[in-house]
Parts: sequence; structure tokens; C-alpha cells
Amino acid sequence: MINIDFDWSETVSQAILSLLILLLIAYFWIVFRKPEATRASRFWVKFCLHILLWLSLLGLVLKPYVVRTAKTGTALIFGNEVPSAFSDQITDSLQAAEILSINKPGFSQIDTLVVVGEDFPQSFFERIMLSQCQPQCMQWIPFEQTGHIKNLNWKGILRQGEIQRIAGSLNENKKGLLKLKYGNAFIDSVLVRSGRQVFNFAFPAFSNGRTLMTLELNGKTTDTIRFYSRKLESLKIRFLLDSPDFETRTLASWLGKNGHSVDYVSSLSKNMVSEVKINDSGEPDILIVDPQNLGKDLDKKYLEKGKSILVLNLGDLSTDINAINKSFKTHFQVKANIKDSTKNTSETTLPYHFVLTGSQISLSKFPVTAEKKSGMIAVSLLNQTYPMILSGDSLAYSKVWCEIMAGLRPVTKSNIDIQSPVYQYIDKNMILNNFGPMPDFLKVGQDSIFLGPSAINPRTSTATLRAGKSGWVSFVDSLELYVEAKSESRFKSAYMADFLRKYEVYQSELQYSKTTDKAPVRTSKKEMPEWVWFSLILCALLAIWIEEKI
Amino acid sequence: MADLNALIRKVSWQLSVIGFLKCLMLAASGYMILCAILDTQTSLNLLFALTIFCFAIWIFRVYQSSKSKAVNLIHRYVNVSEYSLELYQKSDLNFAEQLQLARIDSQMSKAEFPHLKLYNDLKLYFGVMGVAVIFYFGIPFLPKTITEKKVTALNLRPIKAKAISAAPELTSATIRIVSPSYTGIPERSSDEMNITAISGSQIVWEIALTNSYDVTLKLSNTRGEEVAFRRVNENFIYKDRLTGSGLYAIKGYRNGILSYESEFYKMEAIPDEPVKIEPASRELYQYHLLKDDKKLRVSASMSDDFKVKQSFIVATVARGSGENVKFREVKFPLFPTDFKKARVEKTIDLNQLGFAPGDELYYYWAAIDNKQPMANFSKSDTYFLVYKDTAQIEESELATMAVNLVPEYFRSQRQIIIDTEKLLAKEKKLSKKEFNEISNEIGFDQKVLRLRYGQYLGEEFETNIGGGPLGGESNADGAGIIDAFTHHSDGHGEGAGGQAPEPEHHHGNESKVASKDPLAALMEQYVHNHDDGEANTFYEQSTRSLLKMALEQMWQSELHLRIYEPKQALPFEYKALEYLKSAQQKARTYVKKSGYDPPPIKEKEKRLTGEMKDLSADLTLSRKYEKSTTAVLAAEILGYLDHQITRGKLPANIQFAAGTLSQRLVQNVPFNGMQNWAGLKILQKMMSGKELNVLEINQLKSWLYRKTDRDISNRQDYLSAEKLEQVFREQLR
Repeated sequence: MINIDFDWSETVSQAILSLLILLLIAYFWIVFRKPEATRASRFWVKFCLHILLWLSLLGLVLKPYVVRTAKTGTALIFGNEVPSAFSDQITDSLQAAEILSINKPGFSQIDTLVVVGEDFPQSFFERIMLSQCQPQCMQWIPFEQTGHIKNLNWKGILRQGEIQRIAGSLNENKKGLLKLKYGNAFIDSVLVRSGRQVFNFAFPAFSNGRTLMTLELNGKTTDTIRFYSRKLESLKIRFLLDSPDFETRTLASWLGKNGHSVDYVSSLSKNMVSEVKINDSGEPDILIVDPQNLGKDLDKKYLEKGKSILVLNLGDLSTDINAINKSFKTHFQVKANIKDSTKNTSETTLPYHFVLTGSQISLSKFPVTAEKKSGMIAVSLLNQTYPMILSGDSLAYSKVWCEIMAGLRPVTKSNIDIQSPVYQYIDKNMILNNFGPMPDFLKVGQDSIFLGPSAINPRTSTATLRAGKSGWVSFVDSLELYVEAKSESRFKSAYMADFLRKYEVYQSELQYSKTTDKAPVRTSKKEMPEWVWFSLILCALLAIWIEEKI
Repeated sequence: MADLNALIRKVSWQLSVIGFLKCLMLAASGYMILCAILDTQTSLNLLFALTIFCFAIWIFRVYQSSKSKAVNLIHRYVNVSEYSLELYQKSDLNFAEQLQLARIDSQMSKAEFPHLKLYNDLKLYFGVMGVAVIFYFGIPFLPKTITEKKVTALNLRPIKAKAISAAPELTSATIRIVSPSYTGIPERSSDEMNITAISGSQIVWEIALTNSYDVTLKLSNTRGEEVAFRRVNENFIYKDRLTGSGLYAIKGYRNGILSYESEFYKMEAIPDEPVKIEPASRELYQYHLLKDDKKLRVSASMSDDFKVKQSFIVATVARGSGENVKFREVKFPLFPTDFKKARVEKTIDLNQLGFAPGDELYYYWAAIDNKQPMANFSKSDTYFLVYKDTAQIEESELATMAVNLVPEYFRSQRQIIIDTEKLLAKEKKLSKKEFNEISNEIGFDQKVLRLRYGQYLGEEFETNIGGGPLGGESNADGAGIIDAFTHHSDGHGEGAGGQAPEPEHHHGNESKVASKDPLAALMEQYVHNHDDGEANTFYEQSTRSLLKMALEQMWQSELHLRIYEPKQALPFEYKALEYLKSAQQKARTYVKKSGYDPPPIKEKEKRLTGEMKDLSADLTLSRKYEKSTTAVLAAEILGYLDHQITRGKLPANIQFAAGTLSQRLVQNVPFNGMQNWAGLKILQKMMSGKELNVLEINQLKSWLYRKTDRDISNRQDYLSAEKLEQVFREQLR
């Protein structure tokens, strides 16, 4: 079916059309005014040629086109950075696919567009969105250049002492070493083999503020990682013991020196209790008790509030474990270690180990296990750890108790989960949890972002950040977030991923509306190029001129 | 006429140049005077000079044509011009004027213009400039008071601005290190401010500063203690003796205000090491027998970082026993003396010392070096030489004979394990026959051991032990062998009670003693061996059962060894060893408990029932740790290092953290040495408000990183909907 897009309502259009009709009348009047002309032998030839000329003019003005039902097909489009070897490889494996030009792609004949690489001009994305006949599906084959790290991600904001995980993928053609560096110090390294591989670094955040690290591949810096490490709140710990002992006193002292508040309560005699307060404690976050102090109402009250309880100094294991299970309705089970004469026995722990059930987790490499209730209930089979600190190995002591306290720490407040890198002008989702009363919006730099509550967790909200400014931006109160600039080399990849995600949502919305409304027929438009009309006019003129000469 | 015109142009040009020169000289004079007064060279002075220059140009009208002035001058100095040169300026001349011009032209060609006279005016300006030059170069040499008076009189700048602009700067620093004379190290000088020298060296600092007038220079240590430099001419000198390691900085004060502060430098005192003595003999304890040579030859190599002044051997002879012990100490000086490294030998004549049987000789090497005022003294380990007195046999030696048997047995079980493991390791290299033979032999050893323990438990001895020759005569198919060594507990074989007949007991039969194991025969003299072994051995019940269990394991081990399965025998061997060890421990405990056995304390009744009337009821103590840990301080500073550090704008909390950390580490220098020096230096630089470059920041980062706490102290967690979580936990279970 032939269609015309000519705007009849516009005055200019009407004038052009009137002129064209006038031209036709004037033309015939000039050519055929003499009666002998109509009697000439080649009158009809001449007549046809003139009609052709006029029609060509009309065609040039009206630009008619044909609308057909669109064919379905797959097309490939390659980014600027994709080398010919890789594009040939893809083309060979998708032989039926049409290859589109990056500068002037036409999407009319395709329903699946396979995008290879990431270096596309902005006009490409605009063209897709403005196209009347958009591909229904877009697929992306990222091109991983050798020696370039891809899919790099890490936590944008985390607490001091929390595990930071840096993951990514790498395509390398030779063996090497990938190092994570902080200043001149090496935090971690992985061996790189030839081919595509994923890597993962994990370490506890150690700084308090902005942190910048670099990734070095074979001695060459490839990427920079920036995150914000926020200060970890100190704990309030209460010891409730039947008698003071060196192990717990050492622990209380160590906790106090590390900035935690400790209230050390121990019975000395009947009606006589000794209390040592270190760093002015308040209501405790963690209660450390011995089996003699189990089952008191206080314990359960704390537990209901989401605080944690650690039971240590166990004597008769079977009795004590039963008492713990009875008091807190837990399911701890211990088993004696099989004696191995070849191994040195350690005095650090009791010679037993826990049999873990589904809801229990081990807090340390030593036998300290916790079960989650409202808070955590942990049982320690550690016997003597203070010899470590007395022998000068305070690092080992610190490692043991830091791990245990980390597991017992009640859920921290104002948790923010945002994965970096965050790019300028690209949407980034984040999750906020346990903010007390959840605010309606957050302040990020000069902008405000609104929060949406989670459907399954009333203490969680989600938000989408679209940063307009790059660099370190202030976040919530005293925190900061690093926004990568648009000019960063990683930006293109992130932009493509974001575009495809949004495009998919957009297309699914379209599909949804098609199922609900009357579905339009997918058509394609075929239009004659302008140069064809010009050629026709020239040919007609030439033919008229030649016809006169003959 | 052309000549005359050229002359006018020349004079006019010269006048312009002279005018320009005057302007320049005035501006330069102004600049120099201002520089001399303010004691600095800033752009302000240049601006002042430029203003003078512009003003002078305006005054002298240098920009205007000086043609008329040139004509006037020519009229003045050349009489023949007859004051008619203005005619040149006119375009229409009458006849008389034309005639006059022609006349002058002819006269002027002969006349000469005194060009030098034009420059007479410059003399004054040269004079002004000369004064300025004298002022500029001369004012620093003037006594301070005069300078001050001048400054006050001129009153050009406020005092505050002067103090800022004239801050002293370090121009040169020379460190002269005079090592102690005994070291023989020549005196050296360098401009390196980080000092490393022998302890006791004399250090002389010679510092030169710019703008040093009224400056008091001090040497400051990290605790803030300061000592003043002495001013000699324009330099500052301080002399002191190096006694310990540390950091120092140089600070300059003007009117009590800190106006110069250097970065921190290290001062490392290398101690003079004591003499290193390496005796040739490694054996500290030796016996001397009657037949041995009475001349003891000993040698040692000695070395010192400078010189060994004197070395000697100190020998002590101990004689007698019990309470009647006498000591005699003899000191043998050694030669050579005053050497750096040498091998020293000495022959001790034991006869001369009166060394007799039963005596003990203790001797050690000692040396002093040439350190002054107090020499370093060092000595070697003490060597013992015991003259064996063969005439005396102590009873205790006999007594230990029986006791020593037990450990030997334990070693034997371990030896069996070692042999088995060795055999397993060599398995591939050995032929099957060899392998089987060795396995059988170990099995034999195991049996011997089992029987020896058996005798402790009152079991029977066997002299003809072992499973017979390899290949087994008893049973062709080998089943007999297995049966013979299986300790059956299910009612079959040897272990089955009542089924296997007990071998006959032959007590008191002398003829049978000969057929017994010689050891058993020896033991029989000491142990009271009654018919019923169960009742008459010296072990308590638990020890007995342990030994029995050990024997059972030995049975199994022997079985596998005999059927050439050493791998399967190994676990039983280990188990046997473990039981034997436990038995050994038990036996020891038993001895310990054989003394006083106190009645048990009824803990539940007694606990917390003490008298408490004199005790204070208030047992509440309060403590506070206000100082942050090093890890916390380091983490805080690290969090700031990725900010754009701008000069002199360190936040208060970072300044405090850096100050505290730096002070803490500096105080540790005497204990930890200079290991923190590089990092501390950068930290101090940051604290003093100076910008750090990338290299320094990276160095500081890696240094502080090592000081942080790198343990997991938080696990990311989320507070979830309580009911949902509870249901999840229930389902998980």
C-alpha cells in the first residue's frame, strides 16, 4: 500500500501543490496549444514524456512510500573498539544475521539486535529510541580486551573491620600476577593464567574514611578502586560471672583498651558482688555469662531485644550444654575430639567440637558456635586464650576475639548497601536498612533521592541514585561516596549495561501494553530515495529534448 | 645643510637616551633602597621601582621630541650657529634668511659639537645610584641597632609584615662527626642531616640561615626538649656527644616566635659491640680420665668491631663433695693483645692446677675491647671438665638401673614404628621376599616387646619367642600363622579364656631359670614374683588395664607384621605406644599421690561462706582508657590521606591523631630502633602543614597500613522482619 506523509494542512504545502497543478496546466497549454501538435505522429510519445516529467516532480514533492508487514531477523552491530578478528568470529557464528553500520543503522527489518562491544556514539542510542521500528530484543556480547579488567565491583560504603570484596573478570593471553595495592603495600594477589577468568579479593576494611586502592596487572596499574570506610561503633559488653578468673579479666581489659565499654560483674561471696566498669558502659549489646548465671530473666530480656549472649567457662560440658539448650531453646551439640597422638594437643580449647545444625554458624576457627534467635546465642569452648597475650602474641589474641565479637555484634544501625562503581548519569540502586525511623529522602551531594519501602522488610528501603557530579560526594550525614566520571574508561561498559537493562524494561512494558490493547501490526516503511526522483526528472527532460531533435 | 640636520638628530637622540637612562637609574636606586630597608626582594619592590620609572618618564618628558632642546644646546655650545638654527624649521624663507642659512651651513661644517657635555647631567644620577648601591650592599653589615633605627625612622612597613616576609631559610648545614679516638675512624663532614655514628661520637652542627638576624636557633628532640645553638659570626654551631638514637629537628625563633622549623632527621647511635668469642670446642661437659693427657689444649677465635684489648681464661677448680667443697680461681692472660681478629690458643697444665680425681674444672673465655671510658666485657659459655673418680660407685647408679628399663621399652615401641615406616617407605625398592623378611623381623621385635611387658603383668616368659622361620613350618597355607598371632576375643585362638591351656608355672625351679630371658632373671632378683602375677605386680588397677590394652594392640600389630601387612600394623603400633605413654604418665601420678592425701573439700558447702564483716561492701571500680589505640589513630589518618591535602590546612582531628601517633612512636624509638623513622618523617612533614607528593603519600599509606587492625570485626548484617525471620529459621531446622 502506497502512503504519503505530505502535510496537506500546512499553507506552504498547499501553495507548493497549487503551483504544481498550475505548472501542469501552464505546461500543457504551452506544449499543446497548437492544434497541429496534437496531430503529430509522436504525439502520444511526447505526451507520455511530459506526464512522466510532471509525475517525477510530483513524486519529489509528495515522497510516497510503501508500508509492508515487517520481516523478522537478527542484526549485528559492532562497537568501534571491536577488532576485525573478533567481529569475524561473531559473524561466522551468526551467519544469518544482517550487519548494521554503526553510523546509520536501520532497525526496520530486525527484531533482535545483537550489540557487540561497548564503544558506540551517543547518537546510536538515540537512534534506537527514536526509531519507529525498534528491535524487540537487544542482546549484548561484551568485548573483553586483553589485559583489561571487566565487571569490576566492590562495596562503595562499608564499616571498618567489615569484609570488602573486590571481584571482576579478566582476559589475558599470558600468565601473570594481579595485585591489589594500597600505597606501596600489597594487600592481596592472584595468579593470572591465560584466557578468561574471574578473580576475587577479600580483606577487612582497615581505614576510617576515604580509601584508594589500585589493581596492578604485571606491574602496570590497570584500575583504581575507591570506597568509603566508616567508623565502627564501639560495643557495650557486660560480664556476668560467678567468680572472677584470669581469662575473662584479660578479655575485659582487652575490650576496654580497644575502646569498648565493659561492665565486669562477678560474685565474690554471698551478697557480695564486685563490679568493674571500663569506659562507662550503658545497656549492653553483648552479655558474657558463665553457665552458673544462665537462665536468669535478664538474659532472656536482652535476647528478645536482639542483643547477643556468649556463654563461656564451661565445666561439665554435657550438663552445661543441656542447661544452655533448655534456657534458650537452642540446639547445641558437642562431641569429643578423636585423639590423634601425632598432633600436639592445645590447651587453648576444650577437647570437644560442635556438631552444627542448620541455624548455627561457627564464629571462629576455634570451637565457638552461635545460633540465631532474636539475638545471637553463642557458646565458647575456649579454655585459655590469655597465654597468647601473656606470651606477647597480642595479634593472635586480637584475631580470635575480634572474630568472635564480630559474630556477636548486634545488627548495626544505618546500614547502606551500595555497590561501586557508581557512575555519573547512570542509575544505581541501593538498599538502606535499620535507619530507626526511615527518612523519606536522603541527601547525596546537592541532590535528594527519595526512598521506596521494601515489600517484605519494613526496616528496609530502596533508592535509586543518579549522580550528576563526579568525584567524592557527601552522602547521608558524614559519609562519602565516590562517583566515577563520565570520562572514565569503564563508563561505556556501564552505560551499555544500563541502557540494555532499561531497554528490556521498556520493551517488556510495551509488550504488556500490546497484550492489553489492540496490538499494532509490526510494519516496515520503504521509501524511494530523493536521488531517484532527481534522476527521473533529468531523464524525462533529456528524453523530451531528444524527442524534439529527432 | 644635511650635516646640520644630522647633528640636530644626533643630539636629539642622545638627549632622549640620557632622559631614559636617568629614569632607569632613579628606578633602580629606588628599588635597591627599598630592598635594603625591607630586607626582602619581592614583587612589591619591583612595583615601587616601576612607579618611580613611570614618574621619572613623566617628569623628564622622555616621550616628547627633544629637537628644540637639541637646537638650543647647539646654539649654546656652537657659537657659529648664531642662534639661527630655527630657520631650518621654517618652510618659506625670505632672501635674507636663505643667505643666513647658507652662511651658517658653511660655518657649521667646520665647527664641532661637544657631545660629552650632554652627559654632564648624568653625574647627579650616578651619585644617587651609587648611594643606593652602597645602601643595598652595606646595610646587612651594619649593626642591628642602626638597621632597626633606620627602619623605624623610615617607617615603611608594619612590623608584622616584616616578620613574615623576612622568615629565615636554611642555606647550608654541615655536620662534623668526630668518632671516639679509640675507634680510629677519621673525622668526617657532610651536609647530610641524618646522622649515623658510633655511640660516643662528637657531633658538631654548623648551620647557616638567611635573614638570621635576631634569630635563636635550637635543636629540638621529639619530646620537645630543646638546646640552643651558639652564634659564631653568621653561623650557628652546636656541639654534643651522641649517646642514643632518636629524631631531631632544628627550630629557629625570632622574638620567641617560631620562624623556622626543619623536618625531622634521624640520629642513630651504632653501639660498640663487645668482643665476639667463638671457642673451638663445642662440648661443654667433658670427662677427664686417669690415662688422659694432663695438658689441656684449648683455642678460640676472637674478634671485635674495633680492637680486642685483652683476653684471658678464667679457670676454677672445685674439690671435695657435700658441704666440704673448695673453689680455687685462676686467671690466665692470653696473647696477643690489641688485635682486631685472632685465634687464641692456651694450654692449661692440669698438674699445675692440682687437678686430682673427683675434682671438677670450670673454665670460660673472657675478653675486653678497647672501648673508652668503660670497656665492653664479654665471656663465653662455661666449660666443665670432670675428673672421673673410678674408685667410687654410687649407689644411686645401681638404683636407677631398674628404673631406666621402662623408658628403654617405650623407645622400643617407637623404634618398631620407625622401622615399620621405614619399611613402608622402601617398599617399592625392595623385592617381595626382602620386604616380607623385614616385616617378619619387625613382627619378631614386636613379639619380644610384648612378652617383656607381659612379664610386668605377671604373664609368662618365653625364651623361644618368634614365629619360627619365614615360610612357616607350622602350617603350609599360612592360616596357622594367623591363628597363632591373633588375639581372639570371640572365644577362639589364644585369647579365648579357658580354651587355650595355660602354660605350666614353674616357680622355684632353678633349672628353668637358665632357660629364661636373662633380663627376666635379673628382674627376678628385685621383684617379688609370686605365683599370682595379677596380685603381686606394683601397678594400680588403671595402669594395669592400660598395659593390657597396649599388649592387645601389640598382638594385632604383630599379626599384621607377620602376615606381611606392615601398613595395617601401623595404626596398632601407634595405639600401643599411646597406651604405653599413658601408662607411664599414670605411674608417675601414682607416685605423686603416694604422699599426703587430703580429704576432699566440699566445694558447694564451703564456697562463699567466708567471714565478711570487715570487708567493704562497695566493690565497684571504674576505669577509663582514654587513649586511642595505635590502630585507631592509623586508620583515622589513612582515611584522610586520599583528600586533597592542602598546605597548612589539616583538620583538627587528623592533626591530633597524627600528633598522638607520632609522639607515641617517637617515644618507642629507644626500644624499637629506627624502624619507624621513614614513616614518622613523612607524618611530621604532613603535620607541619607541608604538601606531600604522591611517593610520600604512598609510603605513608603502606607504613600506616601495617599499624592498622586488619581483623574482621564486623559482619555485614541486616535487621529483617522478625516474624519472617523466625519462620525461616524454623524451616531451616
